[in-house]
Amino acid sequence: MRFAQPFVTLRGESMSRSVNQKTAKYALYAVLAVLIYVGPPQRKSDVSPSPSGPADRVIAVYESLNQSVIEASVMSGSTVQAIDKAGKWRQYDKNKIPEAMKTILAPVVEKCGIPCVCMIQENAVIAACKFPNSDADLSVFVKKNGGF
Amino acid sequence: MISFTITAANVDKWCGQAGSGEFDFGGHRRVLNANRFPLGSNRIMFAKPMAESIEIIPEEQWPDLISMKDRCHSWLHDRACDLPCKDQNGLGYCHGYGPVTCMEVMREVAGLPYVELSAESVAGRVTRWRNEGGDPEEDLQALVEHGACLASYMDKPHSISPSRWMDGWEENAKLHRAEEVYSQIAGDLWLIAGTCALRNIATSPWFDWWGHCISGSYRLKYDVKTKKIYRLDRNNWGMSWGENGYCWFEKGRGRSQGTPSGIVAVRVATPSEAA
Repeated sequence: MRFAQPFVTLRGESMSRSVNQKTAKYALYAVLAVLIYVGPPQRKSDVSPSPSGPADRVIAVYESLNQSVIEASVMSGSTVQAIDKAGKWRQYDKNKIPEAMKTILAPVVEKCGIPCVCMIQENAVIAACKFPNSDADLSVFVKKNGGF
Repeated sequence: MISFTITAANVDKWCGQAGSGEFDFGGHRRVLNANRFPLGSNRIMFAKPMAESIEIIPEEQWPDLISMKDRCHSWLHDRACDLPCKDQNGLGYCHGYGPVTCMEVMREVAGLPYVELSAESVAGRVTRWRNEGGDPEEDLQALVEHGACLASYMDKPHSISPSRWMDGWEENAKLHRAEEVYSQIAGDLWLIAGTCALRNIATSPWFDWWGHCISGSYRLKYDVKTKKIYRLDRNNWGMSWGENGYCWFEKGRGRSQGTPSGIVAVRVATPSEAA
């Protein structure tokens, strides 16, 4: 017993199964071709692919000389305090980056300049940007990239 | 850099010069790596002068910046208020306790794990392990060159007998050095201490009226009615002193007032994760 026509257009016209299968096949090929050409859709990230969970560490690189009041305030603001409470905040003067972190942070500094902030997961940078000018912007950046 | 030897006879010649060399003035001899002999002063400075290293913020801009930082909860006090208050417990080492507290605060700001540092391991070098006062700038120099070891290396709290300390305390101290430091003894020190508070730079001010050195620049507050500004500093006399160890100071050089006679500051501490 049939309760509904499986292939019915919006106008209610019935279509043959073979025509619909062909259309679906071509559509699939088209999508595959597009995916092969441009790659799968990705979250925008400056340095590496999208995160797959909260960051292990959030790191800021700054220059102590003539650091602005705003920048110093954001680096000690509510968002940073919350990250620090979780033991995941670090900030390094550009001339005092620990040896172990230099190779990880060098591309970030090169790309984003100083000051900058990045999120690290399993020793890989998952997101990075120029250091935000407000606590709210820093909070958005961290949340957008998987939190901490 | 130039090299020179300052003596009482040639002191005028080297006023205002930066360089490296030997200091032999008033019978006190010191070898310095980098120093400055400020104009109008009869002492040599080890660290970079603050007034030349940071942009000073005029006092008329402070009220707006104070309310901005209040809104953001972004004072050093907001970051470091959970740090245990040091207590020198009668030991004459305030000159070491102030700068070492700065180190602990700046480690906290950098997100590094909290470690209790031994002020004795710094001040003791300066006084040759005698229980006596000293110049905080010399402690700053010791902090840069040798660092401060963990308090747990000492045989007991406030010990000044390093022969009884755990082996390796000098190696451990190298993990906790001050990497970037400033000092200032001339000029408008109220203005400089306030600027450091706004820029989140931990300072260690000292006061001639008190004959004492503490840690400071944790926060500023502005009283709208009196239009006065106050600065929050922290003593090294434990939590029972003042407001949980802290005290508000107003401008002035009189007794109980907060314009320092000198300031040293630690801007960057060694970013060592290991304790």
